[in-house]
Amino acid sequence: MKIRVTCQGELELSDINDAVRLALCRLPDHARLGAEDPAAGRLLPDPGADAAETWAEVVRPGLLEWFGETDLAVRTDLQSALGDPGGGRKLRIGPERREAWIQVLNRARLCLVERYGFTEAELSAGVPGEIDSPRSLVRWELEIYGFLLSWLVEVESRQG
Amino acid sequence: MDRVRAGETVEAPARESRTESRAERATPWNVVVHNDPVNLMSYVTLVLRRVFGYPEARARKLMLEVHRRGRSVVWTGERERAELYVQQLHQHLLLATIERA
Repeated sequence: MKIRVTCQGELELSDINDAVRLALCRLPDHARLGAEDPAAGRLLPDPGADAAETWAEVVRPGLLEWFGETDLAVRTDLQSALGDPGGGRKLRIGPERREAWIQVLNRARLCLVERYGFTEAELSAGVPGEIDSPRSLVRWELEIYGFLLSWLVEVESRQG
Repeated sequence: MDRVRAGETVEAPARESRTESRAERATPWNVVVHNDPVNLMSYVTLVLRRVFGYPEARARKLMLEVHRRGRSVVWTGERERAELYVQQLHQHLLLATIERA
């Protein structure tokens, strides 16, 4: 896979291989909060200082709406770029979509760590040598998402 | 219940509660960011720059404090504004709380 920043400020991924393509296609589902999701506490944390009630009534619905909007933007990009199983090896993330991608990549990482119970030591240890289980696949996906996220954050920091 | 005699003055409860809430408003509140092992350091720095308008160096210093000490007070001021900041930090998926300074 090749990655570059175009002169229009787009992050362009080309020659996307099957494994990365699969990881990208799974991204929106990973980032989505399900019913009784163990990641809910992390994505919708308690603000402290007796503000939980206000948060539940006012802030959380807004956050969930924001999650939905960013999910839709990323799904749309993925569908148009990689939706055709026979083709689609290039993905461009334009400046107007950058925020949504940063949000969804970050959210997916947080959700996966909560759902699979990865420890800080496991996260620091790097990717597994072999992908031989759902857990090792997810650990590898965390790395791919982190890699893309670091690129997008870098571009945003420079051009934001 | 206490009886009130003619000529006595009592402080109205409503007024008392207004005084309390005024005092509460005057108390400064901290916005605290807590460490988590998932958020990228560069991302936390970016969010602190965005939300508080801090220059790069200050945002990075606060981010490193979060990383090394587990938490950092990133802003102090009135409660309403502190809640707004925490809301924005939650929108960016940072672990943040408010507490009395």
